[in-house]
Amino acid sequence: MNRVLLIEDDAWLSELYCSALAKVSGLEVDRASSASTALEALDSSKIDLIVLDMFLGEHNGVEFLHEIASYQDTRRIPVIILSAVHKHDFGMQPDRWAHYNVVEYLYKPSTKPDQLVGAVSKQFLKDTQKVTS
Amino acid sequence: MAFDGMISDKNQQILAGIAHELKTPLTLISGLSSELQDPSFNAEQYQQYVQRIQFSSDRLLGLVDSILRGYELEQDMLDLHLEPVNAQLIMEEVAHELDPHARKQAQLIAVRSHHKQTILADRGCLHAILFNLLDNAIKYSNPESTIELEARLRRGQAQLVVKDYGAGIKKTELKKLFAQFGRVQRPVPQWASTTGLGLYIARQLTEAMSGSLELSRRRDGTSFLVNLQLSKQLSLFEL
Repeated sequence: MNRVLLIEDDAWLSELYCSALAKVSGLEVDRASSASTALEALDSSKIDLIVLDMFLGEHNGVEFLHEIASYQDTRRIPVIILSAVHKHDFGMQPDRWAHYNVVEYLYKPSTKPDQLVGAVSKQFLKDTQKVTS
Repeated sequence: MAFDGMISDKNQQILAGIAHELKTPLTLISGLSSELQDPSFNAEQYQQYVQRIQFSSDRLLGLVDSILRGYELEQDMLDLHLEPVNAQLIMEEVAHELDPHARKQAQLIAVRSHHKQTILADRGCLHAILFNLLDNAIKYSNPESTIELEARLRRGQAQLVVKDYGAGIKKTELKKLFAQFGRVQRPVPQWASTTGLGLYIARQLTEAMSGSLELSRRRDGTSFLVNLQLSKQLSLFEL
C-alpha cells in the first residue's frame, strides 16, 4: 500500500482531490491543511509521496520544503507541487526544485482531479519499474 | 511594443493579485464539474458537488463585483445611489452568501444588531464592503471560531463591525497593511495574499459614502469598523 500526504488548505479542494485519489487501488491518502499538521502527519506515518499546495495560510510551501529537507527521514520523499502560482513566480533556480525532491509541478487551475491522479500514479509506477528492473 | 511595456508595474501587480484571488473558486468550479462526469457518483455526492459549484460561482461573482466597483471608483465612474438601507439585512445577506466558505473551516458567522435605524448608503457598495471584510475575516480566523457581524451606534453614527478571532495583526504589519491602502503605494504580493486589495476597495467605497473604515487590534483577533451616516428617513423596518 502506497501512502500519499495531501497538503491543501482549502477544505473543498482537499476533499475533491482526496476523493479522486481514493479511486486508485493500493493508495492511502492522508490529509493536512497546514504546514504544522503536515509535519505531524510526517512524524506519525510513513509517507511515500507528498502533494503540496504552495500557499498554506501563514506559511508558504517553500518554507515547508526547506523544513522537510532538513530532516533525514523526510528529505527523500518525492513531492508533487499543486499550486495556483506559476512555477516561475517563485523566482527559484531550477536546481532548487530538484534539491527539494520536487518531481512534478502542476498548475492547479488547469489541473483536473484525474490529471492529479495520473501524476501520482506515474510516480508509483516509476517506483515499481525501478524495483522490477 | 512588448505587452509588458503597456501595463505599469503597479497595475501588473494588481492584476496578478486579482487573478490569484479568483483562482480558488475557478479551480473548484472546474475540478468539481469535471468530477460530476463520473457515472459512479451517488445522488448525495452529486447534490453536494452541485451546491459547491453554485457557491463557488456566487463567491466569484461577489469578488468580481467588488473589484469592478473598486475600478469604477478609481476611474471616477462610480454612480452612487445613497438611500436609507437596513444594514442588518445586508449583513445577513452577505453572511448567508459566505456561510459555506466559513463552514469549510468549521467557522460560524453571527449577525447582531443593537439598533433599528437605517443608514445612508449605496446598497451595492455596502454589500461589496461587507463581502470583502467578511471574506477576509474568514480567511484569517481560526478554524472553529465565530466571526461576528454587528451593527451598533457610535457617536451619532452607525458602526458596522466585522470581528474575527485569529492570530490578529502585529503592530509592525499594521503599518504595512495601511500602506496598502494608499493610492500611490498598494503593493500586491506577486503570488500570495491579496488582502490589501480587498481592504483597499472596502475603505475606498466606505469613504465614497462619506464614511470611514477603521481597524481595531485585539489580543484575540481583529475588528474592522465601518462608520457610516445614519439615515434621517424612517424606513418600513423601523415602523
